[in-house]
Amino acid sequence: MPAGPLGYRRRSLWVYHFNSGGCNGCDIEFVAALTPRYDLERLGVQLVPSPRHADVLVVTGPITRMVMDALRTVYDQMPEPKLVIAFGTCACSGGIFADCYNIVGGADKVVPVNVKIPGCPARPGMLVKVLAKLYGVRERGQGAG
Amino acid sequence: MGRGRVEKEQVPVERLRESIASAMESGFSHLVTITCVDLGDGNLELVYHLSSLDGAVRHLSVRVGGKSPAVPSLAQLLPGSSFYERENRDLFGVRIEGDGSPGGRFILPDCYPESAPPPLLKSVSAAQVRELLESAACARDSYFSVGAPLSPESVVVPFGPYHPALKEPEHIALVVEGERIRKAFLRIGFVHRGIEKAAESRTFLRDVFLLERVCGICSTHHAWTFVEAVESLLGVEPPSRAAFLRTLIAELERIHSHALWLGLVGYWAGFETLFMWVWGLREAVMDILEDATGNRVHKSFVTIGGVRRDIPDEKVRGYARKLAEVGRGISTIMEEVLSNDQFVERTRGVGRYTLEQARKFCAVGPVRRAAGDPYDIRKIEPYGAYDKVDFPVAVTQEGDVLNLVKIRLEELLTSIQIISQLAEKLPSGNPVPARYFMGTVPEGEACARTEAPRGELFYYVKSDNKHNPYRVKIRTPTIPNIQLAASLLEGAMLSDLPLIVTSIDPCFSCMDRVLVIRDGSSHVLTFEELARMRGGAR
Amino acid sequence: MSEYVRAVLLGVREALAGRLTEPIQAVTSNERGRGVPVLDSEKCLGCGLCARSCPPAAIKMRVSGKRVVGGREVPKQEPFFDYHSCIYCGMCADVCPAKAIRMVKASPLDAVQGALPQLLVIPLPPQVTTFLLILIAVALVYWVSGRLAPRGSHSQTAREPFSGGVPLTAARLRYYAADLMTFALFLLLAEALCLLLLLAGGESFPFGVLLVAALVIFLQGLILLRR
Repeated sequence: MPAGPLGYRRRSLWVYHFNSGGCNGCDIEFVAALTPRYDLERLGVQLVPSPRHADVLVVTGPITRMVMDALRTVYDQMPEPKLVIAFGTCACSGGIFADCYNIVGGADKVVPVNVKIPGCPARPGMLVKVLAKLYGVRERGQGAG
Repeated sequence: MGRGRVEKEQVPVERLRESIASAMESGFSHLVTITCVDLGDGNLELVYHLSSLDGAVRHLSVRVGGKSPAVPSLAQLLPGSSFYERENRDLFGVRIEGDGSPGGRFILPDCYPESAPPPLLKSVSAAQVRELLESAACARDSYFSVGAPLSPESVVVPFGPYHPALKEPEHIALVVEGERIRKAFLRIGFVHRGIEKAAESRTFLRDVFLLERVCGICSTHHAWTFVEAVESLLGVEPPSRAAFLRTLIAELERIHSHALWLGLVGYWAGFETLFMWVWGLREAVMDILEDATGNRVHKSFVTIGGVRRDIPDEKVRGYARKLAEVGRGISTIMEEVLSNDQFVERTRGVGRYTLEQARKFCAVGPVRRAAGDPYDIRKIEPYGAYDKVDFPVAVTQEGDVLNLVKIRLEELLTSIQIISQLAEKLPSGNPVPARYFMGTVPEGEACARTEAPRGELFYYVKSDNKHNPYRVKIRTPTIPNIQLAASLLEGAMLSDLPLIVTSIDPCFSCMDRVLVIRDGSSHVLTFEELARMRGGAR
Repeated sequence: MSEYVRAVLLGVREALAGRLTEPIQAVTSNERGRGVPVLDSEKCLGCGLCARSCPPAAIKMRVSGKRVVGGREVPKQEPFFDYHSCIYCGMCADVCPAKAIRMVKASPLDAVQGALPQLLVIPLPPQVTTFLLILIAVALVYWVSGRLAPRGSHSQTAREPFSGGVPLTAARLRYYAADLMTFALFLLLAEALCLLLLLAGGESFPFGVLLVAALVIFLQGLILLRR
């Protein structure tokens, strides 16, 4: 069995985006990763509308109290094997809002997080880098191109 | 004036409605917001900011106190005031008399007890509120519930908080009949972070960074408006080069925001190619922003007294040239799109509203301008370098999605022209202050307004000679616009919902510093009940 | 008509304009941004101004050794950056009186140790090898069963396995069920074994070993089918 939870699925990871109450900076950067310049789709990555189709959950924004439950629900709805990427400083640790009263903290307070990408906002290139590494792209060469 | 120190007119509570009505008769017909301040002595002060269409502002202030402070509602006079009133009710505990609005929470989670102290009072600390929210009294699953009343004839479609058509969490309970929406109940507060409270416990300088992150798309405008208010309190005038550079970055932000929105409209209209095209061109703008300020999104460029770094003249001219290309690219694409029958039919007449509706809800920004009012803060109350450049204000006569597309496209191209004018007229000097501002701000209250990409953004700052502000009140452009959108949803087709909500360019992260709407007059389902009805499994 | 022409021209112009997509190496670098704050311990005074100015309070002052002040040894404090809470705004670098913090043009991912999961690349044996292997296995099975099929009066070798040497015509394709079943089982066994070997071995099994294993399977099959 190839090591790692994703097995063979890592060659076409389907991503579900969860905005857990952020300022939209990281959301827009995430959506920008799907646009022509960064083009996540060349790695076979697709944005899916339902967590039940997804392999990877990308959480952006600090977790507010009202979405905490929804995050856990969405995580539970994803089939195994799954990965969670906390995209942006707020999803990593609560960021600049960590001491606000309606904020629970980073995504790891609610769901287990596999990869944390800091940055305010995190650059779309970083998401491409993480997904490319998971896909198997070596430092030289482009994988599926 | 709208900018600078606030001069309030005291009005007794009983005569509030008449005073507001007479102010509105005399030309101050636009209610900017209702600011509530905890005076610390058991009394609350509510300041009603009214603006006329050519930039003059009046501030009417009432004081209420006691165990259960109450003010008469303005909702009959001006339906657009209802969100502001409910916000104050949630955050400060100010009761609203006589508006017929539903009870229940507006922005805070439903379970936050009615008897608990409202979060924004001075006597309540953020830690206390946090503890309350974590306690057993505030169980999970009771944070929000489907708000629409149920009856055997109505079908309620809960839309959100997570939905493929939504970029941000919000909940709209739609009562539908076939494909038509009969009524929409909006529930927000999912993005509520408690920023206004947090702003009171940080220094002014750190607050600039916090407030910048209210919204990722219009972040410089938030920082700039706050800094304008603080500079009025300090009596400091930034160097004119700093004003020009701030204007440059603000206009770049407008370009990127409108391009973003154009892409999103394409996306929600089913035209994904437009989305990809426009966002591909938008990357050039993001590169310019990164080159100029060091970051693509949260530029952290504006600081109290000036800007954080200087941009050489040559670079600014280079940007203007680059942007001319971007402008050509986008206008070529949009020309194709707007002459495409399918796109026009998809967007014309959708979400139609009249000037009267826009005024009733105190809509701002392109949404107001689409209906016919040339209400643009850059023209009526110039700030930064806007009085030194020449630009038209785009206006159409009737509001619908197609006109909004045209207006935002016009504004995008106008911004490119503004930047090329700025590049020519850039004065010399040092725009960076000698040192960062880390001192105290003398006592006073000031407010400032700017024209964010979504509309009029208003900040009220009160200081009392300390390192931290006493109160920061933010009124973002999406609040009045979303009220308009919620009323437009009634009678619309279900499939037009994403387009209508997107047409006002909503930014729930801006808006949600606290909000909740619910009709409390009938049985409300909790999440648990919904899950049970669905057969148990989530 | 003219709109079609315009649309076609636009398409051609866009096609010739070069692509917007940047190669992955370009996309993942961080040349223009503000970068990551890095401390130069030599210059640090331990004043704590960075920690007080940090907007998300991501800098904590920690004791890290001693230094001599006025002839006495005092604990030296140094800022410790929490890169997961940092918003990369550069205030610490700006306010530092000793210019001990500089913004390095790296990406935040590089700053955080172990940000990427450990489960990284385990390359599969290339698809081509796998495909060829299975293809050869199936061809061998096919050929072997052709050899073993009952000879008929019309030809020395069967044209199709199990047709009993009768020439193939659409009307008269007859398959002997028992032999078909054996064939199917034996093919499945062969494929399953190949797959298991691939999964278990990954890249450590060279191509030759897998081929030999396949041959062994077929020899066993030969023995099975010998009548």
